[in-house]
Amino acid sequence: MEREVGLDQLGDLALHIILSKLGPEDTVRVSCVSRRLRLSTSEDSLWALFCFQDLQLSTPQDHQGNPASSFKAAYQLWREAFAMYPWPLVKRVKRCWDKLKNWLSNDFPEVEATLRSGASESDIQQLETRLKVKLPLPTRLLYRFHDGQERTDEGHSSTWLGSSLGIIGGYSFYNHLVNVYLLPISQVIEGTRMVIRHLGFSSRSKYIVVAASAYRPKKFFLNCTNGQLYVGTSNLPTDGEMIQCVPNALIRSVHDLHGDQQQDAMLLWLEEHGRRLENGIIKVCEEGNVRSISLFPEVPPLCSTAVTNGVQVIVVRASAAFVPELANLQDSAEKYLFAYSIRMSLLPGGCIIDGMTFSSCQLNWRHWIIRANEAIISDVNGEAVIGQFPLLHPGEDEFVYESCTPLSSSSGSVEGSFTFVPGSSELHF
Amino acid sequence: MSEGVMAVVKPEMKSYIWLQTTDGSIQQVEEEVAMFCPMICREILQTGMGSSKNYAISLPQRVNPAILGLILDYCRFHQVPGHSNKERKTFNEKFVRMDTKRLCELTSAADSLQLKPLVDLTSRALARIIEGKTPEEIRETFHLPDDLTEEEKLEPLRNITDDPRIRLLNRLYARKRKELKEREKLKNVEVEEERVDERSVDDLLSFINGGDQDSKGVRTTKNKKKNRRRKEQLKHSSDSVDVNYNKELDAAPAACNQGNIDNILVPTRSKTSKLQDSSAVIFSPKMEFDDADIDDDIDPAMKEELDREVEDFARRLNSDWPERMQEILSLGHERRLVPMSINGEGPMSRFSSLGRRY
Repeated sequence: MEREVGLDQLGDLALHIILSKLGPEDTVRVSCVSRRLRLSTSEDSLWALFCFQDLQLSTPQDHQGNPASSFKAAYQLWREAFAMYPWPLVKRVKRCWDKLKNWLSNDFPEVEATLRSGASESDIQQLETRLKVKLPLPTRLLYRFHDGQERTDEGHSSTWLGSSLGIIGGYSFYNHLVNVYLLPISQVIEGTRMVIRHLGFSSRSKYIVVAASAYRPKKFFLNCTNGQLYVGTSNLPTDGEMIQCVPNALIRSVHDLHGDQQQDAMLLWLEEHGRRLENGIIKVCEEGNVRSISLFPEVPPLCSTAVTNGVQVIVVRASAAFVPELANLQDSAEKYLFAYSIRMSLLPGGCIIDGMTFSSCQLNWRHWIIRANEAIISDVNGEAVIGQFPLLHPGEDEFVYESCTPLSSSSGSVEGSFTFVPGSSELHF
Repeated sequence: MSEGVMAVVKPEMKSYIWLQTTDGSIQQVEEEVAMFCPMICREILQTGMGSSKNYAISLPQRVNPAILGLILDYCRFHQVPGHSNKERKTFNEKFVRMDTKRLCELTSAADSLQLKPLVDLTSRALARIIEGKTPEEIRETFHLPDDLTEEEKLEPLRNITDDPRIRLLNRLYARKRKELKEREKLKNVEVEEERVDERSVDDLLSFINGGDQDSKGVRTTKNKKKNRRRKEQLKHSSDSVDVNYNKELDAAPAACNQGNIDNILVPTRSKTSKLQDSSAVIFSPKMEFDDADIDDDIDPAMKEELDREVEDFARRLNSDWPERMQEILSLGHERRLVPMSINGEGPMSRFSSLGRRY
């Protein structure tokens, strides 16, 4: 007489397949059905799978990196630590930070080292109490993983003057140098209070400072009510003028625990930043001996490349970055400011002209046309760039220079041409 | 090998393999179909069995004739190389449409025959059946024994449910239950079984936060309203909760002296039963906690201790999530409740969204 084959007697392979397909939540429910099933669900290889799928963990550890006794224990610790958040959002925020950290560990480990460990729920509570705000859910979670960046104190203790290790990065042109850090909670509180005091924001405003630049007053504000991120323009001190950073349509359910796919501007912003870093759209650049993340795009289509059609092959790359902190929305002619970066290099392989060998070239002339939308607003024909005549040698690092231009519209273009002479210009006197 | 009927391979004839199930019956199966099963294939190749009726291959115990029939149908279809992926998929989808019991038998049999693709197919079908069900429903569907303790059933579920309030509640409940079980040796008073009612989490939370109680005997169904009244009576300092509690408890025994047993029972019973009911409701509407014996066996001294414990949890709840509590409590209740926040600051009145200064 056969016994009825129960779910708990299907054999290890079958049960493993069933439970893997079910996922962690349903597996836990199965573990509450009967004693034998409880045993089947305790198999650590199953939890290793779940830890990997949900959290990309390959060793059992809790959310602070401390080792756990088993994958099952690790999974439980993670769920307990983030019990107050929707689990899909926790996974998403972790992926966002992981992407950033993966890139950093390869390309810019000095910045990874500045990331502070996660804030606790009570730290976040303190911020909310002191500033009388309620943080959007995704931002809370972002802080739970990492409480901003540690600043490197370079002798300026009173102001937020770091160095070039802002995770958001920046740009420099003429004397305008920007490098944006993510602020830790302590700085968020202090910075916001300062803004309220000095810029005259209402003490009941729901704006908090979440990122700021060393050197120059570029500040990012999070509106805790609607979850949008804003960056201050040049009129910030006088009028509190800001530009929003993320399309409004993308923001949703920022305070709704039961909402579907909560996302606020902070999360979207960091996810996009991570994507650009991962895809090499923006990179670390070195100027002098200082390395920093440069916001000038490096690859097409945001970076265009031109190659000379003469005997020497010169490659010129150009890209632009919007500079919101110098925008002036109240000035119709010069509302927006864009910075651009031009890089030039001479490819190896000398050339022979009239029997003479030339292994270098020098910039002689440049012609620039700047358009706002389609209208030409500037047409410059002249020698040199930023007062220099760069001399290029084959195989050298790119010669890079930055400049900027105001525009009346939010889109425009700069196009032009350079003229180089082989050898160096002195030869032509 | 020379005895019995030999399978002669002639172009117009198929060769057959002989299989025997545990009930003794023997089946004759086309060779290519049978070879689709790794276990049978190995038997044939390693031992030479299966070529005649007398040397039929014995199949594992879990393969009965009916199930064998199904398995062979599967093999017969899939061993034909000509089918497209779409055709195979369609076949598979139709194939697994059977009752749960049969599906289990089939999975088990396929597993014993090491027919991995079929194990995979049936397992996924079983997973689809299990998906989203509560433990109780799973138990029913598969006729499984209910052999875990209440605590064991409860503990893992704590971490996976999404609602943070539920999770905090469950922790509260689990601990309370442990305490109460330890005090089981006290006298047993008969208590009617509670019906599972539809009270919301909010009421329960507000109850934990409030803690004031009327000492009037009120049926559990009216506790909702009682709760609201209770909250309104709450004073503004954290001490007051303590005080009120004890007051009520003092009142209860007094009422008891009048021979009105209801009065003692109802306040505490409603409290813990509310805990129990609400968690039951939240977990899964069908889950029933049928141990109504929890609440009876508590004498006033113990009650006090327990109540202090509950308060502790309440305070912890509050300090973990003061603003959230505020929000929860403000849902539809008129109140002048002041939450107990860590810094002891006053009411966190909600700021209307004043735009930034432009």
